[in-house]
Amino acid sequence: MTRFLIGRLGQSLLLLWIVSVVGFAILHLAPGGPMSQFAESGNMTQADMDRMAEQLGLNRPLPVQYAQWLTNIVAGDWGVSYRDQQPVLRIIFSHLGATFELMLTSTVIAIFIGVWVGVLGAVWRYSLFDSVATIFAMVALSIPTFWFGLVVIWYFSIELGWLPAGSRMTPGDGSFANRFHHLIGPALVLALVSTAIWSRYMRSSMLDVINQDYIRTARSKGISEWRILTRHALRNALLPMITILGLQLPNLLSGALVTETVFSWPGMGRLFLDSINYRDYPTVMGILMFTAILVLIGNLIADILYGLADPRIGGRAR
Amino acid sequence: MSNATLAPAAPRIRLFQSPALRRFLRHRLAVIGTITILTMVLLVVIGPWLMPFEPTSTNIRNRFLPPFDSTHLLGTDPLGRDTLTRLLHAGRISLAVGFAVMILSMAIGIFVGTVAGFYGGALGAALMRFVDAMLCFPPIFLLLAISALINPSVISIIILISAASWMEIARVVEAQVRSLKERDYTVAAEALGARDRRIILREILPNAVAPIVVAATLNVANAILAESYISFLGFGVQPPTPSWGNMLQDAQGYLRSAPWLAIIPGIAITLAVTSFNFIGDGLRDALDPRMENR
Amino acid sequence: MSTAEPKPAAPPVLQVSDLEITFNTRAGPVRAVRDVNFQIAKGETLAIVGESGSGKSVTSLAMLRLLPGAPFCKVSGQVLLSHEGRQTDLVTCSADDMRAIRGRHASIVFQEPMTSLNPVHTAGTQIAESIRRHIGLGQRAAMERAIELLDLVGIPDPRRRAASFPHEMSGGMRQRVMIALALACDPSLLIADEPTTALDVTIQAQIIELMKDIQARTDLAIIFITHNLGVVADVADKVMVMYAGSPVETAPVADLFERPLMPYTRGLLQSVPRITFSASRGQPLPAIRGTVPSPLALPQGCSFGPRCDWFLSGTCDADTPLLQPVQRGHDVRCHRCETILKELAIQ
Repeated sequence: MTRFLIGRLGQSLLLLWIVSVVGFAILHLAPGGPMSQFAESGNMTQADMDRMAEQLGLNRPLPVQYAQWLTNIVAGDWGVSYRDQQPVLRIIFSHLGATFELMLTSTVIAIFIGVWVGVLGAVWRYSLFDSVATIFAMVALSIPTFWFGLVVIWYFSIELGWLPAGSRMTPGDGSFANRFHHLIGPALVLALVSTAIWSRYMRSSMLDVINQDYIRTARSKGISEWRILTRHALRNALLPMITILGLQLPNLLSGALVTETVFSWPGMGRLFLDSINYRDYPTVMGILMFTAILVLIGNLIADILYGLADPRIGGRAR
Repeated sequence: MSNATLAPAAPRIRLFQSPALRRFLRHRLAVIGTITILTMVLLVVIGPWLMPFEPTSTNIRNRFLPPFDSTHLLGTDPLGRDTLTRLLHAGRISLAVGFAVMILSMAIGIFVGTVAGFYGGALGAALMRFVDAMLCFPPIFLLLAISALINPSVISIIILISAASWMEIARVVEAQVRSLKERDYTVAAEALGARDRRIILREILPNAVAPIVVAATLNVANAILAESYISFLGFGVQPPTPSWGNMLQDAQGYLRSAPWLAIIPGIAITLAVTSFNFIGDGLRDALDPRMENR
Repeated sequence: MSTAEPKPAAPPVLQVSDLEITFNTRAGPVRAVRDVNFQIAKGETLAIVGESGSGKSVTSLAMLRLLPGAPFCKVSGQVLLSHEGRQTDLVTCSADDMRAIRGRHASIVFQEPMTSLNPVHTAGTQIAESIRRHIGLGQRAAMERAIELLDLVGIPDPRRRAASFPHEMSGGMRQRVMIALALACDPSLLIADEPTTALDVTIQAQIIELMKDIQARTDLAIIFITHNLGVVADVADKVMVMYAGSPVETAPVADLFERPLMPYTRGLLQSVPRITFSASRGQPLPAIRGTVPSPLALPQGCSFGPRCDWFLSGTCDADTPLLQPVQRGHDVRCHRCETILKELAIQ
């Protein structure tokens, strides 16, 4: 287990390094590089720009700049937002809670529904339920999240008036009920795609498992089908789902960005979009790097959990 | 003396050989998807010529007409432009972006995947780690970050989405090439002194067609979705050029007064993407030899 | 080696009559197994022998209703199991009754010890589960019983092994765990479906010794399914040879080896150089020409006809021969067995 952990950690660090190079490259991809926003503001002369570049170290060779940038990143200095002059990392953290709240809620919904739809689809393979679930999942995977959000707002907020049309809470009212009421819409919208993904993966994983010899062994012991399903099949079929959870993180974050935009949810996605609109490059790049690191950490955690959950990998001494 | 006569014939998968085609045609959803896509392509190619309106011609008197109007079948938008005309023109752009991205990202993905899989070693490892690192970035974040830095046009959008979506194909191709490289007929061709390029083009890639075709189909679906996302957010195809994504951009503001403006383009996107996903699913079953007895 | 001495009359543990198994395939219904009749008494071992595809494994799964359900597969006939002074027909009994019998009165050991145990549960847990289900012991008592069973099947340090996961054990040890699992509730019938095929030769011998040892102690009735004639000679009291889905010869083990009558059985035995175990392992019967017919296209008349040296046109390809008694306890399905018997007498 220790060796497995060290191996995975090393891999993650290597990826992290490549991610940082890619991030730095994107930052310098812009015409004029990190300086372009000053050029656009229009009230700076070329001399001002040069002095600014000198100050920021932007006239030094790229490898030196990269080393400086990387040192700052590691030290937690992610730059200062052009928009409100606050440290980027602090701004990101202040928006993280809202995004996590949304992602976590929708993931819980998606896992709960998706796992059961997938399990039943596998158990009743080729049944009417399975066919309908398959078609539903395929359509759900194809619906643009933002459009589904618009439809939900139109129908449930405007037509029926059941749900608020956006934001995290009514200003001045931070009660749990109020927050919950605001959470329902975006969480369900974000859960749609994840539910479809989970049901598909779960179905195929479950199909794999229920054809295994050990399920036949369990049946030959005379235990009930329910117990076979829950104690013998589900445990094994859920194992690969831990990895899927990690792998789906980039898509989940993407979905969260779009959902936050449609529902005016004050999370990281919304912040990202606002920062782009303000040409606030330090924040944009900060968030981009931050999400990639989040994905890396998420995958690392998923691998560790998998190692703990699967006795074939886990830390039991031989 | 030609190598082809000596090298043992590779068991190629012929796409239109009957069993695969039969399995595909048995996949009802895939057939529905294919018919839908063909119809959509036909409509967006021919449709605009049959429409009496221009996609950009405004008419202040006929603003916000609801669908099923006598002259405007799908109604009009806030500027009085005909929604159906715009939908068809937008379809041209969105579908074209989808196909173009597929072709471009296939080219990148197949190239990187083949090189990494065939040569392996440090080069292969470095390329695949790069792929892994690229996949760490949530796709929408990556697309938006880059699109914010460049001037958006249809061409730059195509390049952008391709740059963010070739990695999955590279992974598929790399895995295929790596396993095919060890097969007997490849080793035989190599033993006979065939050049790398020849082995890759004649022995390996033809045998990796099945998973590549499936990945390509799903790639079109994802590219159409990606275009709609970034255009909806205002960083994709720029008005007045219509695309399904940017038709939705303004619609949010008129949800109360004119909800059809939001609903209609979304249905078009969903229909196209669902169809491609159905086709991909059908191809996966049809090209998988293990599905023989289904 | 056990001989065919008549055992004291006891009610048969299992009586199978006219068992027939039909699979519904895309190409139409296929009768995979038919005309299976046998009975087995306490302490007796019946070996079912045949090539792969002869229907022997399907027969064993069908007896415990472990085949897929109704639309795919249909089982008819009678499988009467005696338990606790009652008889239950395993073909027609309710699913609940079937579950109460499986693992309690009739158990099965499968061919693949590597994949037949659940990777996420310990050996002890998997054995204890069966005990808790059928005997109603608590968690702790069931685990103690599981440890005793592991000791019984010859696993060293059973207490530690009970807490081990399957992947931490060798194939032979996993098969011992499977046997312990099958014996957990002291069943009256054990079906062993090629239990040694996946194991090394030396381990094979150990497992067979173990099963014989347990049988001697518990008076268990065993149905031993195998394609290995060496193993048959070692364990069986009676032998049933299956070909293309139906039994072609049944006989006490000594009779069968001394005087095989059905040409297929003769071919099988000729393909074994000497009757010792490990002899025919991996050898696909080189002496019999041709291949096993597909159950979709069985030849007219005798299924073995096209491959038979004794084939008589007009007789063997006319109608299907019946399984008929030739001597006491020795049944043969062959039109030509009178002739074969005469020729053997001359030799």
